Amino acid sequence: MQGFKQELNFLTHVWKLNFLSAMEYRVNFIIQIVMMILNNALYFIFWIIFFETFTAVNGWDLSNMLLLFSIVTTGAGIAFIFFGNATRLSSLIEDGQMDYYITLPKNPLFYSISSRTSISAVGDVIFGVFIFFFLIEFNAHKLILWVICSILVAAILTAYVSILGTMAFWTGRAQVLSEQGINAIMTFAMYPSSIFNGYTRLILFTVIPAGFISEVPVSLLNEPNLISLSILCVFTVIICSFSYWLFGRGLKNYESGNLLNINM
Amino acid sequence: MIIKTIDKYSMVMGVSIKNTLVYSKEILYRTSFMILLLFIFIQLWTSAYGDEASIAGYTLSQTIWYLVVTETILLSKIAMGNQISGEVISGSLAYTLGKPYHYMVYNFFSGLGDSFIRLFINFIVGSVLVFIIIGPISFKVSTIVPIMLVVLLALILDYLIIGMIALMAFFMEDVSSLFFIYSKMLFILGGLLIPIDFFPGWLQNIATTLPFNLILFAPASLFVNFSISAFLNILYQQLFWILIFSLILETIYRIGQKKLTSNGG
Repeated sequence: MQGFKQELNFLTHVWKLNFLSAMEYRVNFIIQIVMMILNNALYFIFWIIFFETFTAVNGWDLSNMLLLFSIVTTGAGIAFIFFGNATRLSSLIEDGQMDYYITLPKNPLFYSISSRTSISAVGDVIFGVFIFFFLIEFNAHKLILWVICSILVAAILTAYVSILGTMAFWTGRAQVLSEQGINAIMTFAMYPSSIFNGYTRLILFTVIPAGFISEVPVSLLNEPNLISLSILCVFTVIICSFSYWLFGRGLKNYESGNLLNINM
Repeated sequence: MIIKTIDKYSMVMGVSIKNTLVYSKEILYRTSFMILLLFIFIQLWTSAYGDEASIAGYTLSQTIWYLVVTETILLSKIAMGNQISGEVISGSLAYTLGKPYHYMVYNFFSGLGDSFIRLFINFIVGSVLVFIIIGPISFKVSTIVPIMLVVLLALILDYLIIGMIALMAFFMEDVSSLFFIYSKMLFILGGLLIPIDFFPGWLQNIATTLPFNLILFAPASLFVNFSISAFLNILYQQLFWILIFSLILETIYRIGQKKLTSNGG
């Protein structure tokens, strides 16, 4: 317990430093956030046009898309604000830059993936929060569930992206795999899951777990029930534990680089 | 004189084609996102159409083949914007001024070679996927030349807009936000994912008045539903906007050249 507190305390300092360093270039900070909000908003216009013509697709309508966008953008935003370096994990391993993280007496996985904040992710959170509070009808129960779901989605995404990056311990080069995997999960997650069936659904609940960050939370918010919530919690624990275990295994294969670098 | 000029720029295009072919694996890697998107949209449109034979004048097959063309053009556009704005900002544009070519024309042909290879590969990859899942689209061989002409003019039009934005770097420190806004204009008003005919009336009017639809929507809609009158209409509009934007681009370039300062070192 003491170790966990120390780790959390350390990560809080890392996050604070990340934030201060991002704020150093204030105009750039604001531009990136505004761009991401605009990007998400314009993407949502596509769905407004789409549902103007089709009303519903296999039971999914615009209200479901609002829920989907509010959860996925908030979850992804939280993930990459706190663990923005997870997307670069494979490069760190490939280039032998993990040396910096493993020489300190801190958990190398948490330290490495938390040492960068994605500024545009702040825009994602603002967009998701705006949609939930201003475009969706909610009560206290729904609000609590939405917060829980967003945090679970953030945990699943962080674990999934870390797993992709960790592959570099064995494959050497995993940057392409990592990019493709992130593209795949985010793209599949932003469309109504009801359009997929058969093997595609199987993939979306296993290899590319987009179903757990889109369909399950949306159905949970539409019809709150303990079973769906339990499934989501259990899956989050499984994927996070697997990611942690896999990184530990991979670290044993790590070959240090002779690259001298300073972590600013 | 004219033959020499054509020779000069064809050489530039030839070098660009050779360079692109060296990195053919990179092009294939980029097509993977197109495959993913097409796969998702095949599922989406199939569910949305249900038993409907036609919506807004498009059959299911036409809507999906439309997306193949818009995605192909989007992923094969002449990608010189960042290079031009970078050279303006760094001042390295000054080194090219003494060379025997027009800077913007040189960059156009340099990007066009790469663009042709990408067009070919992206279209083949997208078509194979859609052919397997959805089936063929009725298509006349005689329409190939007019459609290719419209696609070429779409690439020129896009290059002129990108060029104008890139040259704004003479007056602004960072033009990335302008590139971003333009890409989003193409996404919505260009009809990237959904044909403009599906839009509500008021938005359709805005989209068809602005030139963005001539880059993605016009070539794609012509491909899935060819008619001579539609072809001529698109051709006139594209030529009109190309003329307007060429004049603006040349004006910005000349004003920018006068502002250019270069330091030795």
